[in-house]
Amino acid sequence: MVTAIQTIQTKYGAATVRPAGTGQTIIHTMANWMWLPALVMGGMAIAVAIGLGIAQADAANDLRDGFSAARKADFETLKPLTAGTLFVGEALVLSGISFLLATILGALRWGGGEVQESVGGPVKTLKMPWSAWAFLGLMMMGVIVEAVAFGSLIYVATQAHDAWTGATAAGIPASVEAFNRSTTWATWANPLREVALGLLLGGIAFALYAISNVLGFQFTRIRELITGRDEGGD
Amino acid sequence: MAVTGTLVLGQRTLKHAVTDAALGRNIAQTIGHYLALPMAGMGLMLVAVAFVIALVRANLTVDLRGGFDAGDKAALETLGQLLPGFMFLGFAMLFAGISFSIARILGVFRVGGGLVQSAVGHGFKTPVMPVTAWIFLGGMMMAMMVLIFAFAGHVYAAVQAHDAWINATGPDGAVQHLLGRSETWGTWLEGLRRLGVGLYLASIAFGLATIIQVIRFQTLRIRELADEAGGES
Repeated sequence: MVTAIQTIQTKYGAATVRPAGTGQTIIHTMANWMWLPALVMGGMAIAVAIGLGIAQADAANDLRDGFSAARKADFETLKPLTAGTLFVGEALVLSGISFLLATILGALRWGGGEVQESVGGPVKTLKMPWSAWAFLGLMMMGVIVEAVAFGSLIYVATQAHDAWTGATAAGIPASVEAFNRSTTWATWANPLREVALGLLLGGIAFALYAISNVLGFQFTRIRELITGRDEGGD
Repeated sequence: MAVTGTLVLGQRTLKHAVTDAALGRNIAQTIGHYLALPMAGMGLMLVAVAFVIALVRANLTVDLRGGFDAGDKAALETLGQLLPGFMFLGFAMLFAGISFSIARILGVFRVGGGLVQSAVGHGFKTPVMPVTAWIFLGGMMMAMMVLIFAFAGHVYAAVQAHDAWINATGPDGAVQHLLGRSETWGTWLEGLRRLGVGLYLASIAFGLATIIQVIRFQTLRIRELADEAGGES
């Protein structure tokens, strides 16, 4: 009979043995609440990006009627904003998927505890594996990098606006300094948003890896419960 | 020798193999088991390399403002082609990591299902690889090939861009046919990269659909084992 929390080593990593099931961690609880808002916000950001894209196309059409500084400034301002908003949307959708994967991990943890408790055996729960920590780290980094990239693209948009406002001819910006700043920042800010997506995709790969580990552990535990033999040590 | 049969849930029938012993992972699941993390790791490294290329390009744009230099311009345009190549090769590896992780999960279900059935001792039933799993595998391999080809195409376009600018005497001095070839390749390779990503996403969806089928099969099998155990008692 288990009366205190013990730690054991299994081939899937360290696990705890408890007399009763454990609830979900704060991360799982947060994921339960956040996956839907993240997906909805992602969808909304993509819709906004489509709107900005249409406005940009309209500005490009206006420019064909003849050069004006305001039209050019509008077009050059909307370009980075459209790209930035679109990638924010994609990052939020990927975050929603990541939160869903965390929800699955939480459900496995809670459900595994419930099943073990109901059959009257000690409750063995896998400790958070390193792949789950990597998932969390990559996801948070992805969101932060995306925020930085979006902020940078807003800066690019303001510089592009300043560069073209007051221009008197096509191809000659009113402020060369602002124009140079906007092109240099855009050169690295655009790839940065793709880096953010890469980090989020990496996080999803690690989350799926963690799920496979938890499932493997649970199959072993079910076998233990059926046979009555302890296979926890490795 | 495996025999194919059906498990019935309402109107649905699920094909499966009946064997004397638990089945191990198949070759695709074994590859997924070992390659999931290396692929994801390589993907993250390639994305990082692509970002370093972006920083170098940003530096070159600043240098070029000081005056035209053929070497700097050639480097800028060459890296401009290599950047999307490396970025999307990184994405290819990351998507491969995700796909291999799904294959790993399917392998865990296969091995774990065998473990549980061996403990109960009422024979072994394992779902036959469904059509969604074959589409998952085929789509993933095609997507990987498309993205690797796109990378090779960007290397070619980078070489053309380099040759176009390396002997230029001014901002308008590029060798036009080489520049045109580089830009043409860059344009259609962008579409090819999107196609590769789309194929990957579709194949991942089929991989997840396979997991759903396996879970459904295992649910039925657990009920069947419980019924058999109840009949004996």
